[in-house]
Amino acid sequence: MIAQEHNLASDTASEALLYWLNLITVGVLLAVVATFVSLFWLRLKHQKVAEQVAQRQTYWQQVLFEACDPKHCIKLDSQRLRELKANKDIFFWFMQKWSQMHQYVRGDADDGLQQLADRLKLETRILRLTDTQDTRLLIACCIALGDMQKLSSQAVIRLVELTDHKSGMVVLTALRALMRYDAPLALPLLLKNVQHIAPERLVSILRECPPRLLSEQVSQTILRDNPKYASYLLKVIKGMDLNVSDTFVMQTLQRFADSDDIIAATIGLIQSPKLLPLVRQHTKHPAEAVRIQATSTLARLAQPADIELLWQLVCDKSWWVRYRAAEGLFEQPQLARSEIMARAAQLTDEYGKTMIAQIAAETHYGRI
Amino acid sequence: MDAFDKADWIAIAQVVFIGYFAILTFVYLLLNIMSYVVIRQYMKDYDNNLLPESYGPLLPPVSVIVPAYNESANIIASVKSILQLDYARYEVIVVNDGSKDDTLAKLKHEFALELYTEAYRQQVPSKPVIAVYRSRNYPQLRVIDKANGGKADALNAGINASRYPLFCAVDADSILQRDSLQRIVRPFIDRHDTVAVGGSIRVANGSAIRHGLLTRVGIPKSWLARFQIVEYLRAFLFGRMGWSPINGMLIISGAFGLFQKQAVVACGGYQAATVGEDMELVLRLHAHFKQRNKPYHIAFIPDPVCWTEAPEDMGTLRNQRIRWQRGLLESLFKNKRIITSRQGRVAGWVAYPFMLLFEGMGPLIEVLAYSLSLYFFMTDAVDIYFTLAFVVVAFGFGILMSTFSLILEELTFRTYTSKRALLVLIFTAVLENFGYRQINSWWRVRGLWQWLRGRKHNWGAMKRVGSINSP
Repeated sequence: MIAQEHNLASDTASEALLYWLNLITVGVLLAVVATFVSLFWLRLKHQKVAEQVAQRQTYWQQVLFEACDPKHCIKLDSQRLRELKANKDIFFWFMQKWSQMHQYVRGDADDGLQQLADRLKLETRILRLTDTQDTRLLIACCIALGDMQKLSSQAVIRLVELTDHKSGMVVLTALRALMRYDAPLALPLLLKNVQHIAPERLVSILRECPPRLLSEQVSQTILRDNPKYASYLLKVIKGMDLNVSDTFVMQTLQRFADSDDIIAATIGLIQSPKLLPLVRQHTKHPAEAVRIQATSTLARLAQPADIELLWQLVCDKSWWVRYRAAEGLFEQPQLARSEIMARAAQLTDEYGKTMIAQIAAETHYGRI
Repeated sequence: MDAFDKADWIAIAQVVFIGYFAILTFVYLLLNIMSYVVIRQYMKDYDNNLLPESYGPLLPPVSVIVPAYNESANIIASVKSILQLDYARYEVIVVNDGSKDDTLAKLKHEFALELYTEAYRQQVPSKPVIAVYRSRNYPQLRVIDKANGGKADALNAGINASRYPLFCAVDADSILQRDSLQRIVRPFIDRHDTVAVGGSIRVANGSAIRHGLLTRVGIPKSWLARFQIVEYLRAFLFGRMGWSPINGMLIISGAFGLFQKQAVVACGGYQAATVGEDMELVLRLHAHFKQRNKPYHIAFIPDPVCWTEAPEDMGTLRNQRIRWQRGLLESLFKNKRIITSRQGRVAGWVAYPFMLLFEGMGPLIEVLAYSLSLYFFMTDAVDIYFTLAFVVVAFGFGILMSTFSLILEELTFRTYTSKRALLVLIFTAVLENFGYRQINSWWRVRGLWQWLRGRKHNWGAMKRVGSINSP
């Protein structure tokens, strides 16, 4: 009896399960058919949309090209203008294209693009967009503001605010925009804020700054600040290939006499033969980093009398000093390769001999 | 009593399989919806450039690491494609992991390599480096020749030799698009706590490649490769995209992924003693940051940034799938601590169990379901209607998932432009459910078995058809 009841209950459950399974089957099959249909519908829809987008983009690209000729009076289509005002995505695209045009134009064409920007009230709209949290939009806004010939005070204030943004890229693009517009305002902000950014990335912003202003301000900051920051800025100077005065070199060496890193970086910056005695003196420095830089600088500025010192440095206890000295010897125009090899054969120091052989092999590889 | 027991067993089996199937369906649908939302958002500014060219130097520099073992057939095309990337500052490091073929000789000849002296910092463990070469023609290209130690070990050697803060791991049989790096670096710009980004991998078979660049996307003639096209679309467009916004992504394909070097070094680099070093690293990154309660984000971009050669013969495909399954299980069990972590959240408490239950054990349950359905049907334990309905739902759902991924592809990149290609893909999405899917599940069960037996791993050599090595 119990078994019968159990079987009955289980049959009812199975029937219910089968019912639901059938329903699901029909649902899944319908969904499959619907996805097939929607696939083709999507393809057709996208073809239409792609055509519209292509037309719109062609129109605005044409406007941008025409704007590059400031004598040309552009008639703007009212419907396209409304679209540009109402649709943020279209405006974002246009703003980027407007910025990109600046890469290829100068002079009159640049003025023409600025006139177009004034007519479309680009700055006001861009400023409104900078309220976003979208990093990429902010970056594009900063770039576009950097391409403006003139900026309102609100725009400058907003750019200064963005130099405190949590995204490094927003900070960098805001600083670059400011640097283009007002270098004396931007440079202190840059020097204050971005020591966590790799010098080589910073260099691309600093290229917007007049070299004299940059050299002066960076030099002052180095002499004023702590050793860690100074070492970073010295790398920036090196990356920028900036000229530093002999006085600055002397003052830095004096001010940071206890920091081997700074001494090494400063010695590496020397470009004047007047400071050769100082360089020679530092080739005997106990710190390896200083000796490496001093040897490199000596190789770069060497006078005939310094050749002997380079030969001595080829036998230095540090591998890198030996390497730089050997490289330096091969770079000297007055020394023939055969002459170096002959002298190397007479060296009693096996390490020096090996290093000369290595550099000889490396420079040989370099020849095509 | 016997009949009663049998009915009970059937009822239990029905409840287990239908319950399992219902949860799987629900999660897949959810992932599809999430992918759809994220992809729509992502596509809004897809056409916009990341930065104008002159701002290129502001982008973070990247070291591209290409581990190579017996890759003679594809290595030249692959390195050429990487050297043509449109990115301001990057270096390419090819790591020859003691290849037995002429991989190194080909590289030396093609790129005019010369011995190069440089400081090599051992930040993560790797086998000894024999020599470092630099190209005379491409200053950004270096080749590390090292003793054989496996893919993970080769990647570690590449990390040690890299100079930049981000590194991109690329398989030697991959072809990248010109803008691949520009695209994959975006999440690092969008969020400062990003530690890794994965990209969408596509099947290169049937496409035209010239001078290391993909010039035309096409459908391959081989059905096996076609099935894999649909499979890759499904795996990447919703399988991974769906997990990305909730920081639950547990896999970044070894074929193409960008990582923050500092984070990977802090984790100890790739683990040499594992088959699925790519997944294992991602899991370890999750565990590392969760343990320290530090904010982090692991992202995914749906762009087709990397094209790879799919196996076109059953033997190679079988070995690949068995290896992948072992890798998955090995990685999951090596990092089981994230499920018990107090900071587990989506990755530890949702994505991990999902992976274990539906990806790790899924094939076993699927094979079991087929076998039991057949057994119940043969023994008249269930009637034909029930069996048929179950089969139609299971197969229909498979087709539905495949076509959903085709819809996502249609909404986004429309890589396969012709209507004929679309028709072929639809047909493939249907056909793959009849035979291919089941064989795949069987291979994965074998992978599971090999993992249980603890079989030793190797590089996983693949028979190449050379489809990416066109002149």
